[in-house]
Order: sequence, then structure tokens, then C-alpha cells
Amino acid sequence: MKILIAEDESLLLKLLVDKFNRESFEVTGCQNGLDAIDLYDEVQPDIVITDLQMPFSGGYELIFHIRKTRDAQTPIIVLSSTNVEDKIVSSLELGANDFVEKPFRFNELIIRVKRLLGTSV
Amino acid sequence: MNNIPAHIQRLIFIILVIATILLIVDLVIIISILSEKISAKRNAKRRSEIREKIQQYITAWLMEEDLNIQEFMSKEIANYFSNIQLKFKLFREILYEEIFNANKVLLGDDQKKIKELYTFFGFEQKIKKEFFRYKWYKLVNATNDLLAIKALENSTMFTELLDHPNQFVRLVAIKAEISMGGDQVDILSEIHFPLSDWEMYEIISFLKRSQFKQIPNLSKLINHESITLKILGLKLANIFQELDLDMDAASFVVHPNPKVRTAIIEYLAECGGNEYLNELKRRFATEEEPVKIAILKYVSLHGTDDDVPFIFNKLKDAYPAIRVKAAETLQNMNSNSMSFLSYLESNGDKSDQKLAIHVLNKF
Amino acid sequence: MLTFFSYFIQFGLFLYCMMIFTSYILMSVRSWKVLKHHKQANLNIDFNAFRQNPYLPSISVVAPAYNEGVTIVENIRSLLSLGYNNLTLIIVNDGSKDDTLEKAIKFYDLEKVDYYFEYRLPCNEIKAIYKSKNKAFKKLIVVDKANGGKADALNAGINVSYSDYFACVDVDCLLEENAFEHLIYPVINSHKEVVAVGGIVWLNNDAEVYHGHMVKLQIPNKFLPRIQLIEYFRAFLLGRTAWSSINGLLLISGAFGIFHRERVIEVGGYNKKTVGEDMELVIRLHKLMLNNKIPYEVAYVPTPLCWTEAPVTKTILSRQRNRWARGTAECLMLHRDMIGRKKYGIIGMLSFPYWLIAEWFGPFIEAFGLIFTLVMILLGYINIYFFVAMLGLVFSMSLFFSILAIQAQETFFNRYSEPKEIGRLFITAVLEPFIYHPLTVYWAIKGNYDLFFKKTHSWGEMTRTGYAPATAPKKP
Repeated sequence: MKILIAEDESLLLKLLVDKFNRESFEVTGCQNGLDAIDLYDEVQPDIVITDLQMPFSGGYELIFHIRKTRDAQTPIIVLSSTNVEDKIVSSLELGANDFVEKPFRFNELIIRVKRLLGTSV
Repeated sequence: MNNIPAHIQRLIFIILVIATILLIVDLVIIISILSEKISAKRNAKRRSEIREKIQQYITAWLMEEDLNIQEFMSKEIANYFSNIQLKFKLFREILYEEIFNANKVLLGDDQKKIKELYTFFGFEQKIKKEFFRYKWYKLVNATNDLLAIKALENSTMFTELLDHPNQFVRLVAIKAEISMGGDQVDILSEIHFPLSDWEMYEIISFLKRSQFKQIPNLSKLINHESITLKILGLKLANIFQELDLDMDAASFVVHPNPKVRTAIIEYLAECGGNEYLNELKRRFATEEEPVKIAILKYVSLHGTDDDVPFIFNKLKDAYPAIRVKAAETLQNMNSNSMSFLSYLESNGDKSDQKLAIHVLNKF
Repeated sequence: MLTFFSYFIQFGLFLYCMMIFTSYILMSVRSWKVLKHHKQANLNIDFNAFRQNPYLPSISVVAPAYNEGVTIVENIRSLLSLGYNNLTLIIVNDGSKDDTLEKAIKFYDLEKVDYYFEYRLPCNEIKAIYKSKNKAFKKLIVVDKANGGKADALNAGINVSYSDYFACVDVDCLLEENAFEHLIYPVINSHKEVVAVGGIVWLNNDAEVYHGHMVKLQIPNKFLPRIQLIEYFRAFLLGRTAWSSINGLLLISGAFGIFHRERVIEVGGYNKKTVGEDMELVIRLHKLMLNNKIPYEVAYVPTPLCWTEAPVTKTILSRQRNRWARGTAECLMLHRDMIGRKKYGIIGMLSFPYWLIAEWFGPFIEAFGLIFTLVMILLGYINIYFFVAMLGLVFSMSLFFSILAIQAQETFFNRYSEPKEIGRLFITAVLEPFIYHPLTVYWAIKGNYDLFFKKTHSWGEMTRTGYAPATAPKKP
């Protein structure tokens, strides 16, 4: 299983990469939205985890790229520290499958990822 | 220079002395800035190397499942750092930063492990030292960090800080007192300085983050003589949905302070009944913009078909922003008002039509 | 007789010099204190947590665009990526002659909508309002209107806005990611009504910019922008910080600031007839609040929040300075009734006289002083040694303030890391009084001459002077 993780904070990205590596995912990580869009096309991941607020272009544009430009149904989990209703709703409206608010538990995130893959594969 | 009068000679001398002093000061500043820059540049590279290592190290610790922290440290630390490095001030600085970065985004077991790291490296002592430096921003910073990592021990020092002239110190003292288990309302009603909107928001979000289910005894705050505490009390009552309050809502509705009026109307809209509908409708015309918006919210939650003419009237309010809010009220109140708005979309006068289109399309 | 006359004028010039330097010293001391407190306070405010705040006042960003076809898509993208929670983005296409509008429509999937608004402020015809079909861009509103200049475009944007505050932003500026969190802080932390907030505008010539975000900042390579950078340090760090701390700020830079929407509408919006529309608006806001005796504040956030490119060539720079000089003169003349009036407090008694003497008359006094002294030396009335000593004093004083401003940057912001670049900045500071300062004096006098004699009065003139794309398109 290939997973793409876009998260601008380097420590958290390292953690996510290691955790998912252990769960025997093939992990690609990046720290900004533009790289994420390029990497998405290159890697063709089975699932995407993205932050909303990142340098250059946020998570919205990544979701938009996957759902509209590529018209793909790749599961997307948004991992963000926002608890503003409007932002959560619009990310889901745009086509994200799930929303995990920071601070979060890794075990929970991993289960959500697996469940999404279980239903969509 | 001999033919110059003596007093001008003296003047020239003074001027030259001042100029020379200034130039020397310039030179000192220039040299100090440049030398600082050069050493900072040298440090920057080392800094990023150490940060990279520390991040790898923290990740490894969080991935660890068998060893406890003592075992992990004695076994693994040599793979990342030399003994000398561990004593660097820079190392401890960056480690501290990264521990708090991780603490901010993690929950549960992972967060516990971060706290173990924090205790292992003895950062508690470091923070406590800041308490006695009497630099206010260091005290505030240290207390905030302790609150974030949930390591604040009981102390009496914050009680007197509730009245500190610096708002940051006051705010952190309130948070500290509350998290040490004091009664929220008792602590808040001790505050003598008026609260700004920002301070209110900080207090509200702190109480929400601390996951209190309810705030007992809010009436005390609402009936407090301080206007800003009154407002804070009403806002808290609204957010924590406290229905059983001992207060004279009718007097607040006509309170001279518009912020109090806004807060009470918003509270009544969310948590009250429709008994103020007529009173508020009557007061609408003379109110200020934010109060008007609160009244429209009240009407949209408690109004009936009888109120449609009132709202329809407001589509011609002096403020365009109120007109839009009024149309939104029609949209949200009930199905009849909603169909009236749809009717206006095709049959109203030109301005009503545009308003209806604007609101129905959620611009 | 002539000797006495010459002494008299010399004494006046000396007095002027001392007055300016004393006020600079006072301002610097005050600014230093404010900057220090601001930095310490900022350590304890979590601006990222502001994003979570559902009660923040709403802000509309009004960004006029004229012939920005090359960069409009990137500029909008950069503004859309701002994190503020309660933000609407209003791009006003001010009758561009190029494909600005078409590009925006195409890229952002815009469609014409029946948006409800009123012409509350006078502005040229608003032809259409566009919104995106794509929900990712639902904060974006594009206004298409007939050309009328920057002030006119801003008025149109305000008409369309329903937010509590609106921000005027030059569309080619780069904003810090949490710029509006910083700007709104004084609003929600004040017990008075805050009618306007300004921030530091800072130069980013030669900075590495990638997709509307600054990757690496550096000191400008060219001489002219580098000198302007020092000017900006002096003005924003040592000058405005002090003025704002006594609520005496007369100017919020037109490139970046937020204003209370209803108050601005109450005073009639931007004035189309002056080139100093940014300063003129702030003065009218002061006037309104002081006339009605409402406690208020014009706040200023001493943090670099807005990045822009300075003019690189002498021609464009001279045009900019010409415009600034005309703007200053127009504003001060338009509101001359405020000068020295006790009713207008700090503004009338301190800010206005200072602007009058130091900013408007300053260049004239300087030029006159130099010419007069040279003539007197030739005629033998002034001692050459005295003149040289005075010149040395003036030079060392002005250098001192430049160095102090650079030190303030280092102490409170520390945005540059290369020692070599800072070294170049120092050399520039030494050269400034000889090479650059005489030019600015000349441009300012020329501006006043144009205003009064050449009838290039901006009154009634409709051609744009405001914000033609003065700089080269930003690096991709």
C-alpha cells in the first residue's frame, strides 16, 4: 500500500513516516502543498493524508487536484489543527473522506487509514 | 584659523567633538552587529544539524515499544549524540522546543512519552528557575509551557498576580489558578482590570480546552458590577449552555452598554424562550449594528409567521449589512418565511429581488 | 547689516537642524521601548491559535488590480492561502486593458452572479461581480468596474464588502501567512474603538519568491532599493512606532492596512481627488472621531507583515517621490484647519506641525540652507571652517539614525543572516547623505512645483497615477 503524507512540520512528518513504515506502508512524505500535488501524480498513492495549512498551497488545492483535475477516488484524510466548522465542512465538501483534528492519537489515525482502505479497495 | 573670533572657534570645537563621538558610537554598533552576525551564521549550520538529530531521536523514542526511558537512554543515546553535545546549551534549547512542538500535536500514550522525555532531561528545574527571574515575559512563557505539558504544581504565587498591571501576567495567573483546581467563577470575579475581547476569548478557549462540562455559579459573574465580567459571564453561559441562571435578563436587554445587550440577546437566542420577542422588535430601530444582528438572530430562532412583516420591513434598513442579515433571517426562521423569500425572488421590488437572490445563493 | 542678516538666517537653520534631530532622538527612544514591549508580548501570543477563534471580526481584503494579467493568478492564489478564519477576498479589476479579468475567470472558474450591494461610496460603474463555481475558492469575489484609479477601485470594493473591517492591499504585495491575525490583535485587545490598523511594509527586492511565498529574504543587490530599505527601517521602526504609541499616526501605508468599514463609509471613503488618498483617509478618520469626542485608536503593529518591491530605476523612483510630495502637500492643505487646534489634541498640536515642518517644508529649508550658505561663503560672510564642521555634524547625525535603525532591525526582527550583506547595508548608509538624500530633496521640491505651478494638479484628473505596475513581474 502506498501512502502520501503532506505535513509541514518536520518532526510530525518524520513521526508519521516512521509509524506508517512500521505498518508496512510505502510512505512518501512532503512538506508543502505544491510538492504534494507533484508527488501525487508521480507516486499514485492508495491513500493521502494532508494538513490544511501548508506553505505555497494548502490542503484544499491538493484535494481539489485529486478530486477534480485527476477525477480520482483516492481516499483522503485531512489532519489539521483547525476546529473551525467552516474549514472542516469545506474540506469534506471538496471531497475529503475523513477529518482528524490535531492533537491526535496515532493508533486512531492508523485505524482510520486502514478502515478507509478496507472499504475502498 | 587665527582670524576667527574665539567664540566661533569654541563652537566649531564643540560641534566637531559631538560629531566624532557619534561616529565612534556608529563604529561600535557596526562592529558589534557584524561580529554577532558572523557567529550566528556559524551557529545556524550546527543548529540545523542538531535539530535533525533530535527529531530522529524523539521519533525513535516514540516508536520504541519495549524499553522504558532509562533503558532507552542508556542504550540509544550514544547513537545520536556525543557526551559533550548533550551539555551544549544549544542542544537543550532545541530539545526543549521540539518536545513542546510534539506535545502540541499528540495525545494519549504518545503524549505521555513526550512528558517522560521532558522529565528525564530535567526541564522542570529549568522552568522553575524562570519563575524567579522577575522578567514578566519569561514567567508567562514558563507558566504557559507548564500548562501545556500539564506539569504545573500547586503554588500560591499566582493569587497575587491576578491583579498584576500587565495583562499577560494576569491572564496566565487566571489560567494557572483555574488549572490548579480553584473555582472558576470565584477566580474570575477577583479580576479588577476590565477584560478586553482578546482576554475573554483566551479565557473561554482555555476553559473549553480544559474540558469542563459546566461552570457552576455563573450568576455571580453575570451579576458582577464589572461590565466586562458580566459580558464574559453571559458568553460563558451561552457556550456552556447554562439554562438555570439567577439574573434579571430584562434589565440587561436595556443595559446602557451595547456589548452587554448583544451578549444577553445572543444568550437568550440560544438558551432562552420567546418572551422578549416584542420588546426586542420594539427596540430594533434605535439599536446599533451588532445589537441589530443579535436581535435578528433571536427572531430567526424564536420568531413565528407573525414576525415576517417585521423582518420584511428590515429589508429596507439603512445598513445594507442588516438588509442581508434580515433576508437570511427569512431564509432560516421557518418554512413559511423561507417561501416568502422565494416569492420575493421573483415578485419583490428590484432591491428585494436582488437581496433574495444574494441570500438564496449563499454569496 | 548683511552680516547680521546672515547670522540670523544661520541661526534659524541651526535651530531647524537641532529641532529635527531632537525629535528624531525622542522618537527613537520611544520606539525602542515600544518595540521591546511588543517583542516580549508577541512571545506570549499564539497567533496560530487565533485561527480557531470564531469570534474574530470579519475582514474583507480589497485588492485593486490594473493591468496585472501577468501575475494576477499567482497573486490571487497567494492571497487565498492566508490563514485568517473570517476572510473574504475582493479583487477589483479597475478596467484593465489587458487580460487580467479573463485570466482570473479562466483559472478560478468564475461566473457572473447577482451579488447584492449598494453604491454607498461614490465610485465608477460596477459592471459585474464574479464568484467561483468551485467551492475551494468560495472566499473569492471579483469585481469588474470601469476604470477610475486606485481610490475609486477601493471605494467600489468597500461597497461590495459586508465585513467588519476591510483591508486595502496592493495586489502585487506579498503578505505574511498570519498577517491579519497580527493586524486584528490591537482591535480585539483595545478598550477603545479601533478605526484603523497599519503594519510594517518591508522591501523584498531580490528575495527568492516561489509561488507567491517568500522562500529566502535578502538585502537588495542594487544600490537604490538598498538605500530605500534603510529609509523604510527608519520610517517604520523608529518613526511610526513612536507616533502610534501616542495615537498620533497620520499615515497608514496605502499598500497595507485595515480599516473599520462603517467609519470609513461615514467619512465618505477614499478621496479620488488626491494622490495621497491613504493619508487623507486616516486624517479624516481622526477628524471624525475627535470632532465627536469618541475614544478611539489608530493602531500600528510593528511587525513586518507586507512585502513589496521598491522601484529600481531612478525614473520610477522619482515619480513615486514626486507623488508622495504632492500627496503630503495636498493632505496638509486640505486639512489645514486642524493645525494647532487644541480640539484635535496630539494630531493638531504635534503630528500636523511636525509633518508640516519636517515633511513638507523640510526639503525647501534644506535646499535653501545649502544654497544660502554656499553663497555666503563665496561672499565671505560665513566662515568655511564653521561650515565644514556643521556639515560634519549633520552627516554624523543622519548616519547615526540610519545605523540605529539597522540596529533596531537586528535587535527586534533579525531577518537577514548574511554578514556580508549587512556590511553592504552599512556602506550604503554612509553613502546615503551624499548621493541619495540630495535627490530626494530635489524630487520633493519638483513634486511641489508640479502641484502648484505646472497644474498637474491631481484634482479632477482621472488618469491613473496610483499603482501602475512599477516593478518587474516577480520571479516564478
